[in-house]
Amino acid sequence: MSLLTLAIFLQDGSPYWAAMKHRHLILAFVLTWFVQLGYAAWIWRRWRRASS
Amino acid sequence: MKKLFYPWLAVTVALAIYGFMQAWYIAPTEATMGNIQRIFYYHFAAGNLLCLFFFANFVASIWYLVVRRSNPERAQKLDAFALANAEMGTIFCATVLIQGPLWARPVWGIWWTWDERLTSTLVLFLIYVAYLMVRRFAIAGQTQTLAAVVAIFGFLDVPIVYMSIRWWRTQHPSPVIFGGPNSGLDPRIWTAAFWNLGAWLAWGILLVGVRYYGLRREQAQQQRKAVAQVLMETAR
Repeated sequence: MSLLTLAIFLQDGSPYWAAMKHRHLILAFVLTWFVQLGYAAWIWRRWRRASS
Repeated sequence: MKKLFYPWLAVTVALAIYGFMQAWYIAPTEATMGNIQRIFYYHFAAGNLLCLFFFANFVASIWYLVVRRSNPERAQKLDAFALANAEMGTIFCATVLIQGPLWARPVWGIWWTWDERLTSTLVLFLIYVAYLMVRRFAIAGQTQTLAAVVAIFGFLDVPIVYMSIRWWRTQHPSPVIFGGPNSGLDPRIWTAAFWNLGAWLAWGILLVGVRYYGLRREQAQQQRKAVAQVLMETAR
């Protein structure tokens, strides 16, 4: 990637900056699902262990 | 259980996707906060559901104490139900405590402040972590009774959390439900909030159901082990 392409990518309005602008919102969404799915995986494993 | 699992999972996934669409694309952008306000749709659901699951744990714990001598079989079911609900409530409480600072930082300029709502929610989380640790590490025998008593006292913090923004002037915003004449939201925001509440409720019930049946199996396993041990000792 040339420096010009990189500069265009990093300028305001690019997907990178759009994501950075909403990073708190995205992080809240990702972490919420991470915690919930982590717990779901844990109980699923306990269920499988209790069934064996 | 198995018959109900997959249809319930399908409904939950459908609700979660629709709730997400409502929250991110259909609900209007809030005028003062902008897009960051969309955290509200998960925050509102988690905040309400943690109260619901802790309440279920509270009722099951009282019921457990009432029937533990007269009906031990039912008491075991209630104990498993209480634990499943406490775990689910704690998970929702953890997500509330993650989402809150991530919302507060861009809006208030700070990650955290020791106001009544935030502090009482953190205390609530720590109480139920303590409850889960009692269940995990207490020496067997009185664990279930001890946990039920901790749960009953722990639940006393839930009304404090709920009422904190009514009793005190806090950094946390005033209530939007039953908050008096100046409270309330745009109807489109309500629609998105209730779809997400429904989705997370379905998700919570699903996990409590799976955990409950898992715990019942663990109880049966422990019972079988205890019986086998008694039989071996009497055979010696």
